[in-house]
Amino acid sequence: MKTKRAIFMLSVLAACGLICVAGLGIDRWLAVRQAQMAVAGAAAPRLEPDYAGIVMPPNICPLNFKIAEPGTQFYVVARGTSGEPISVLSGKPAIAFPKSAWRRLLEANPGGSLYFDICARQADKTWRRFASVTNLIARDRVDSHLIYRKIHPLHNTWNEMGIYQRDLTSFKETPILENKLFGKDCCHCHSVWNQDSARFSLDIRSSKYGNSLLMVTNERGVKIGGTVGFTTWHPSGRIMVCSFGQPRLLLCGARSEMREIVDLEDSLGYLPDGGVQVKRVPKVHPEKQLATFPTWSPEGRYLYYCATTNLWKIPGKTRNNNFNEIKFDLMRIPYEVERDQWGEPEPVVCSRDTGKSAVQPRISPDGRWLSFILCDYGCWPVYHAESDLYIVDLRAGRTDGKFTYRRAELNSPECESWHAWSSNSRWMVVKSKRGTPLFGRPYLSHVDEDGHCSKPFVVPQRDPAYYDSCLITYTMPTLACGPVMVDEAQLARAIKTPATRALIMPPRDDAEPSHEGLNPPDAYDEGAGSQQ
Amino acid sequence: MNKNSRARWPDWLKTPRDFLRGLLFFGFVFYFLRQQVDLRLIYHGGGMLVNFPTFYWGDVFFREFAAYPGGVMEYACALASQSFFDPWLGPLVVTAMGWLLYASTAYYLRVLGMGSVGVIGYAQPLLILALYARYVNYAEVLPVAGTLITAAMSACLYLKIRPHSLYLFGWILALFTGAVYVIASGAALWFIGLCWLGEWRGNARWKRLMIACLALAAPFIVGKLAYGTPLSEVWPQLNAHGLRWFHLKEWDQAMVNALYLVLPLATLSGLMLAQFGKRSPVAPAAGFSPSNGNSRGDLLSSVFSTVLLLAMVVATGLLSLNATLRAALKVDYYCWRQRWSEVLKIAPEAPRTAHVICAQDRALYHSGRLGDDLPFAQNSEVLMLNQKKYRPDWNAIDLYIDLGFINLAQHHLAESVEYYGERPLLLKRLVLVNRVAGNDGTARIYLNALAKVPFYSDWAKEYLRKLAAKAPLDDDGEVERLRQLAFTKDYIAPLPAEALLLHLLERNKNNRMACEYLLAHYLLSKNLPGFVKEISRLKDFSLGGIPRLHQEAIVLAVRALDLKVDLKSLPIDLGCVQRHDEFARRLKALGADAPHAREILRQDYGNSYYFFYYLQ
Repeated sequence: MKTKRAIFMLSVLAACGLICVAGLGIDRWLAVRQAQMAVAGAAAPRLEPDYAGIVMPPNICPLNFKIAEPGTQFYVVARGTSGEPISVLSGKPAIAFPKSAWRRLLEANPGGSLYFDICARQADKTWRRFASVTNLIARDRVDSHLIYRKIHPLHNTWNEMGIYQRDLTSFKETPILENKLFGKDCCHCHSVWNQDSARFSLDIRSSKYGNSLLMVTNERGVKIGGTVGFTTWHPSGRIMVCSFGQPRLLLCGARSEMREIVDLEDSLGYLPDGGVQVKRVPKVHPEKQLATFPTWSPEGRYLYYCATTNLWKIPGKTRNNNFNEIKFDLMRIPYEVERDQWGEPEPVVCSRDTGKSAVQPRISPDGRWLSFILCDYGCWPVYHAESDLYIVDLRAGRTDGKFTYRRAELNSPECESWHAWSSNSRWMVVKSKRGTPLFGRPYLSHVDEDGHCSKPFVVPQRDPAYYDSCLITYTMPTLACGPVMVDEAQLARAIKTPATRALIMPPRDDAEPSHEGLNPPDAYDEGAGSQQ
Repeated sequence: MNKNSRARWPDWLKTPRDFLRGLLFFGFVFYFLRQQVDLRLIYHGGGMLVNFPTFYWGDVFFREFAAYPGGVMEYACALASQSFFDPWLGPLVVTAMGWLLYASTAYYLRVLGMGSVGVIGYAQPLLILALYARYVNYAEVLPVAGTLITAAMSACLYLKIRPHSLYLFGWILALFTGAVYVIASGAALWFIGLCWLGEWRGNARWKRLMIACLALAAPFIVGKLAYGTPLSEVWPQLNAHGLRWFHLKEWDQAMVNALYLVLPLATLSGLMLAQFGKRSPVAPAAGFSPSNGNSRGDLLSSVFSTVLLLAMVVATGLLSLNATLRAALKVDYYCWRQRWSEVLKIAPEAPRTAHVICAQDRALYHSGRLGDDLPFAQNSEVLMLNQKKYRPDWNAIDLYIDLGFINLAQHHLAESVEYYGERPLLLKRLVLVNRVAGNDGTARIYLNALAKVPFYSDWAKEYLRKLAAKAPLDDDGEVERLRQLAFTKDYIAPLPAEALLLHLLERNKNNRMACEYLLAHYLLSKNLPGFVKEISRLKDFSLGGIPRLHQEAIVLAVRALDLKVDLKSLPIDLGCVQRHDEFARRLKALGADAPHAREILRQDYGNSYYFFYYLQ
């Protein structure tokens, strides 16, 4: 009797379940039918993030987005000229595409268009169809991984930060090194050798374990004691050029972005791979100049860097009163790696021509394009809304001997700063603060053969509303051809281990003290916090 | 109901007396947490408490926790901690955790047949109460309690269903250990330990004990397979909720460790009793009532035990309470809510820190008394909290917003977020300062974050809706007021207090707080020429007359320093002049012995500026 009753109950439950499933299926089918029959309007839907009119890599993960239009239900079809379209029916404005179907669709349409057909069900239960959103799928793949640092918008104090890598073909983000593993100290400027994630360097500022340069090769980090700023590997991998600076944070009382960074000193030095003896880059005079942001041309014949007169050596000039007079020139200096011989520095972009400060140069791996940031003054464009990305055609420069720069198309009214090239020179990642003047996000932009940048789009996230409430800022985005494989714990152990070797700095030959050093220290004179 | 059926009931429901005892005990715990400790103060933090867990609704936040073993428990504890926002819910949640801990301990001991020592479970809620009353390592209490509850409940479940077959036994134990490791990582160690103790008295004891040891391999396997954790990292993770030696005062650490050790020690002592005392500690009922409680003696014993337990709650609550820290927290709590009369009432109980004094002076200003009463600060660095050592300064944020130093407020907010975490109070202020600065895009980011915070969600969503619709907002008036005060001319911070306040008044001469603080700054630094120069600014405000303290300073400037004062028809009270003359006469009579004069004149002139100027 009991068994029969149980079977009966189970049958009733199963029937109810089937009815529910069938009901939902019919409901969905009806909704899709009605949406498909809706007449297309002229207005384009607002998408958040703005994934309309962009060029996307064929290997990018799904561009999940939120439809910023009123509606109780949403129906989206992503389609190309070939391949299986993807349709998504959602009760919420957040649309997420299935990963494998997305990949198939992109692979079926390289060089073609990708359309988003979007319908929204209105409160009166009718469907409104928007004009199709058209994007282009590039033929050029983007490097699979993006490396960046995530931190709060800091001043002087920091607590949590880390260097992370993001697989651009999926949503997977993994930490390379989080500072909670080594006393919540600072890990920042990273430099990848030739976009090869197997070899990179990382700067560590640690009050507990000492400042150091972490050299990572073959999945193993080696600590070298010493304080460095920005680093760049020679393409041959035989030497590394570093900047050695003393950045200081200033707080401005009235302007919207209150932070400002000045460099009290900045010079360039280089060390051989595996060595610790630092040699000065000749003719870049630390006693007279501030020199920073070194970067190599891909063939390794030129070192590009930014330099200016060291104002603090001039009596009467102080960082509090004259910080906005510092304007960097973009320079280059020839180098022969075989003979370890440097040539004469030459200007590439002069501040007297631009009226601005040229910083953060990067060169595309094919050697064709030099990109850099122009801001009104100073070495830290991150805190300047007017900072924009500019491009120089180096090939044209070689022909006519003149470096002509032009403003890149990807700029916004807010700050654009840290940027990097992909290994095929067709993609650029740039930190942009568009829409949120405090928080930087990584944006990708396609660069065509003529050096024109497509409309940039923010690196997609699984949750399309992720950036809306993200209180973290992304800095120094760098593209890499594969994942960093080194174990995070091993890096932390290397940092915690006392350095067996330390950088040996060359002797200073400037007898003249910095007049800035004679100024009484102010209350914020403790360093530049963690540079963003 | 017969005795056998009642024996299956949980301890706290066995008899009405047990139930009543439990109810009274936990009722008292709740009362102390609600009335004495006031968990809202811990939620507030006041720049004195760090490490309060952040929590956001949504799968993005949850996925961060799910990515590592023990994350689920941390997530649950972070969520539970948010209840401290509410004056009733917080104590209720903590009391419930205490009860769960007690119940799981008592139940575990009963499963082992040691119900008579189950009463020791009451020690755990007492320790929890004491830890919260100390306000020190509050952030550890819920995770520790959660770890112990998970371990004890899992051990109970395991001991109930353990198979006789040694082969199955090993597999099930490993399965349990793995699951406990996933939920609460460190609980796996305690779970194995409790199971080990549970097996002590069974058959095939040694084999089972060995297998229990082998079960420790489960976390290493699960860690490697599920989370990709290197084997070398599993042990630190397991030990993350073990006996940790915090950098805290010894007494507080001892309490945390005691919380961990109550159950294993009770079990061990029960086993020792059984082993060496040649008698079983098994008792038919838990707690203090070994019999069915019908006799008069049992009744008395039950009443006595209940009274004893309640006395222990009271003693724990009173003895462990950190009253001065509570007062300091309350000062800041009321300060942030602009309940100035309560600030002035509570502040005398708080330690004389710069933050408390600064809060008192703000309260004086907002009560319209800063010109009448002597500022509590003895120097303007404390009045303005502009000394280097006070950074990152939670307490300076509202002071600077009040005065119109929007950028400096933003600086301290940014530093505080980094130092104290993404606290909703800070995020709310960041919305305000960014709106004042015209950075609505940034304000939206903070609002979107707040929309995911329990108790702030509705406010943030409504704010966002109005912001999007460009509808009037509740704080539009305040935003506009602050925009009128905020600097337009740039400068590099920090400037000395006087320069900052003069900048503010240059920007907006109607900034009354800046004016009163400037005058207070002059008074505290005994700069009467400066004071006299700026006193005419009072004319810009519709005052009934010159405040008493200012009158005294004017009289002093005229009589003692022979300065000229342009009062612009503001009258001076004749009584002030007479009081000065009387003070000067008595001071002269007392001669050069300042300490003696201070003692004599304090009674009559202690609250006067004359006394401050000459004798402090």
